[in-house]
Amino acid sequence: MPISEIFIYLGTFVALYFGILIFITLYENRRRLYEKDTGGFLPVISIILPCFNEQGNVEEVLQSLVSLDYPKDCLEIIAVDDGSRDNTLSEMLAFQKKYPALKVLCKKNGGKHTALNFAIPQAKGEIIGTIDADCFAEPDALKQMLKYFTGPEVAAVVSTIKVAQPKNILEGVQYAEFMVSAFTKKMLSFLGSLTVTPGPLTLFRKETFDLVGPYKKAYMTEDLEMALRLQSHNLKIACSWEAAIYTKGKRTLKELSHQRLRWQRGFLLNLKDYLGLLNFKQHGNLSFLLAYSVLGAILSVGLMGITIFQFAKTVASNIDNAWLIKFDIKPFLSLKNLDWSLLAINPLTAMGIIALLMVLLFMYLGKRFTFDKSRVGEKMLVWIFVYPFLNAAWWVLTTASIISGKEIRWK
Amino acid sequence: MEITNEKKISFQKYFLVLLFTLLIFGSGFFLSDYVTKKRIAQLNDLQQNLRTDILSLETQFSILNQAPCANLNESTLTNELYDISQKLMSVGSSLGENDEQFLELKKYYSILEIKHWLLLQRAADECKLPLAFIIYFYEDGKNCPQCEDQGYILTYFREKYPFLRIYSFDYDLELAALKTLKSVFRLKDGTPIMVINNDAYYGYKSKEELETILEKYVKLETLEEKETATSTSATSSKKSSR
Repeated sequence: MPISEIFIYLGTFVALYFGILIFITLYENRRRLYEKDTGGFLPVISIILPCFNEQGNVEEVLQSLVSLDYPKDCLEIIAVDDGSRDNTLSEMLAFQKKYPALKVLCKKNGGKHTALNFAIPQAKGEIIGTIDADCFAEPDALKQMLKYFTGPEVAAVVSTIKVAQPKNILEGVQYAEFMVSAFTKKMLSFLGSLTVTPGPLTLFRKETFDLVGPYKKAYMTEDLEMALRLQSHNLKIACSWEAAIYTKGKRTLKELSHQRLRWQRGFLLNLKDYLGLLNFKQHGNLSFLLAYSVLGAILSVGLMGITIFQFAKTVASNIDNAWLIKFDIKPFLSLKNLDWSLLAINPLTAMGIIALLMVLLFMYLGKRFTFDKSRVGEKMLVWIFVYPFLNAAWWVLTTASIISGKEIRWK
Repeated sequence: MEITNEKKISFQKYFLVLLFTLLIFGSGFFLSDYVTKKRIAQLNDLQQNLRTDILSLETQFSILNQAPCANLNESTLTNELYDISQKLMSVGSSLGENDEQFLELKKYYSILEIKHWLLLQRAADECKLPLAFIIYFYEDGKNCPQCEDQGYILTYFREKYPFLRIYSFDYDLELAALKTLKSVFRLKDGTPIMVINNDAYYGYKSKEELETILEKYVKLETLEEKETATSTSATSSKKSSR
């Protein structure tokens, strides 16, 4: 058996194993997918909005925050201008005129983590929320998330991130990806293995920061590092399917690639700083799944490399053939010339179909469990084919950027 | 704030997941194995059908000696032979080119080709069918690196000129009938070899070269114009016109 085939089988096996682990986790937790209510728990919440050059985005996110369905006297909104060079601050101040309760803080530019750390000590809330400027929350998001602070062991609750009104194919790709992620994140939360407390909207108990310390720069992925830190302290991160937060999808491949390189680079470098999390005895499922993520990344790069190589070989051979007949391909353009044997099922295609169906099912379940009503069916299908290649390319670039030691900026 | 101790790993659960994964993985293998076996079984059926067809073909040939040429249903037989060649190729890729079962089928197919060629040659003469014949000998890629390209060009000719009949043979196949055929044309080693109307041509021939050669025997324009629904030739095609 050629090495490429062994690699394909191994890749499919690993993907299938993960899929089944997720489904068994779903089955085990089928009666506790949603929490019932807050049980009268309506603490003071401080939402911190760190902004750097977010002109044009600020008003929308602030509007969504003041429209939240939460007692106004229990909600503190803090907008932090991290030394923006555009009109972010003036937009914040203009909004403050309409809503005097909005707290506006201003500081010299130092990065998102510094903006958060600047605001946290000044926040009055028992619960601290962080939100990104390119997002807006569903009105009931806070109440839905509060339900998950079921006990003192829950340090943070993450929301379900969705792509707002996906229009182009790239946004559709992100929409579908976030749906899959929404489903798996909840399952990972049951396995105690969430590795990110996302910037778009996460709630923390304020005492969490007293226990684990403030945000760090963490290779521009402070939300990922914070989650790993909570995990290293054996604190619990819960996930609310009911709380939707909408983020603006990246509109160009360049923007999307930049974001993903930052995420993946952050994942690897932060993992290097938290190697202790790979200790199975102490961290159980999390250790297994972290190791699995790294293996998955390596296999996905290999699989996509093989696919691209095979495709290029086929194209080259067809061009070579076309050259032999001086590109007079007309006689071949007939149905009877289709090579039906290519469509025959062999173990490789069977595995491919199984893997494809599994991803589709994840996507469907993500939509269903998060009550998503968006209609972007055809764009989802494109995702199936495009995303693995993009993802593999990002992993290659991430590795290259780590080896070269090149820093990645926020924007 | 309390620190949880829910971090224990459940090896039982991971083992269960492994079992399920192996089950699904195994089913994938089982399914594909089943399909491959079914395909081979189909080929055996086809072989049976073909025996009947050959008998019918020989009967037609006997009738042809006495009755009018209109009774000859050449296109159906040609199509059947073409179908067999396609399926044979797919079996070859499933079982491997050196598999004994595949080689046996290949020998049988080669005999059919020879019979078909003999019949059509005679039919062409007696019924004035506007057919042209190429007998093509190839070897595997090791012994004949250019055979694959030559095969592709011949497949192209078969598609372009519907009245061209191309029969392809594995030069190294151990088959008495094939040896006789080779000796009839006094062939020397050196594939690719093409026999066109009893003249043997050695070595790779490009599209233009082959067109020039064929022009000596038949007016290609005439053939091209007379496109019919008939599928031609008893060659199979992967890349090569085998």
